[in-house]
Amino acid sequence: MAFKHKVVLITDASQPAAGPIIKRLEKENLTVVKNYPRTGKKGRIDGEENAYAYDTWVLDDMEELLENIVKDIGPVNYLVHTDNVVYRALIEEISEEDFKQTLDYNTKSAFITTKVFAEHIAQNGGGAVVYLSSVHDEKPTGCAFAYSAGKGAVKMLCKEMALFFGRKGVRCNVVEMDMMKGQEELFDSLISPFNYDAQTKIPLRRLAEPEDFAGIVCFLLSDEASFINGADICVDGGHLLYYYDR
Amino acid sequence: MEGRVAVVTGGGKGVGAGISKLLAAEGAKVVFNYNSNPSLAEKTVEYIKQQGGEAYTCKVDVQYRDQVEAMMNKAVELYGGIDILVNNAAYQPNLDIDEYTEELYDQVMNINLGGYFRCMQAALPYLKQSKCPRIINISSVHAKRPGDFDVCYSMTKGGITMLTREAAVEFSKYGITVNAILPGGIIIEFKTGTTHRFKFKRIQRARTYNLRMPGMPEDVGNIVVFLASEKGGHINGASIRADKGAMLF
Repeated sequence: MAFKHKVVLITDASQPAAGPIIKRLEKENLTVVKNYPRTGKKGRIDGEENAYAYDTWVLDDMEELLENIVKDIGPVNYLVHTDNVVYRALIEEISEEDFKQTLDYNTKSAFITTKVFAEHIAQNGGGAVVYLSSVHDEKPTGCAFAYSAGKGAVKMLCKEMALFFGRKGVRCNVVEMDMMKGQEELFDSLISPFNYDAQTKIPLRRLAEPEDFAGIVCFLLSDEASFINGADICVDGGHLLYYYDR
Repeated sequence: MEGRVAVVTGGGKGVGAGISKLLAAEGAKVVFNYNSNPSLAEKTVEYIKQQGGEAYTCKVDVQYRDQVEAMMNKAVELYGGIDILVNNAAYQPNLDIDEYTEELYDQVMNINLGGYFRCMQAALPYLKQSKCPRIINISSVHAKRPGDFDVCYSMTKGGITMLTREAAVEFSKYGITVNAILPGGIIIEFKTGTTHRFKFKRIQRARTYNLRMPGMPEDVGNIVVFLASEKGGHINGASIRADKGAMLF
């Protein structure tokens, strides 16, 4: 694939889907900057190339990260927001603190990273932003409401940013991931059969693997997707065909 | 609606006042809060009382759990329970992402999305005891279509869509229906959304019926009344667009 620019930031490299994305982008000769949030540390990570530890929902942290990347590597051209933290709790039982933290990890992180990096990308010749989100920005989980409320907000952030930064040469799109193999317990719900039924209902007859999202993220960042802006692309093997409200 | 009790957040002005007035006109006893404008809230109470209805207003900032819980308790103390919760209170500073501070982001999230969550949680014990319990979340067409005037406002409305769907699933075991209404432009006593800063060239088409006309607060109130009634009981987890078709353009 063709890329006009060089440097891409992965906001949460610890996520299961982030590894294959990093590999894929490196294969395309991009310089991939990896950030690890929620480590309790701040700064460059020794022993790993182009790796940093900063909290993505903290404005000061993201401004410091941008400053360091520009100093150490050069201007950033692409942003992939990968922060996906599922907190299992129902509305009836969740605490105020857990609700806020889930929204900070999933939603505020998207807002703050966009605020800091998209403007920088615009000032450095344009580029693209991809929010790696979830089908639960449309479909309720029945087990982790704050996560889906947070992802619903990220979807609207993307659409607003596609307008605002689209005019400045930065395309913004969402990739909606379905539940991956190994996440069955994480999304298990006594109320909604959606994820339980995934094994039998997905027409492709398998659950998603972390590798399934790398191709679409790479494509959306590339010049080949140069007219794709504000799209939400569902990567679910057809799972949501069973769901009405899209 | 006779004898039922409704709590309407931000029910003293704007769209909220239209909802409070129509619920009261149908016989519901209405409790609503104000945060910034006590005089408009008092006017709404007066209007409802003049029409023979019952209403009570109090100052509550939905950002704070203790204040929200106090409002729910007051509704129960005054009228014996809560049957209908209408989440409506919202804050819309009309800023682009480069103008938003971190503190303002937190505030908008905490009012528009956090407030809805907090009120649901606080009203739940009482709604569970109701024979016809309803939650109605006032959202916006900007839960689906970007508004291009306030990034965080749209984000919170996108979040409300999912909060509504999750609550509809979770609370179905209690017989509580949860729905969202997505109004388009509504004429209210104060200014909210900015007009588009980019003027698009419009082609004058033959107009047989003006679908782009903004609505009135009562237009939203009518839908709330229907959803809150027994007749609305088969609608759950829905997002009902109320814009006279404006979003079709």
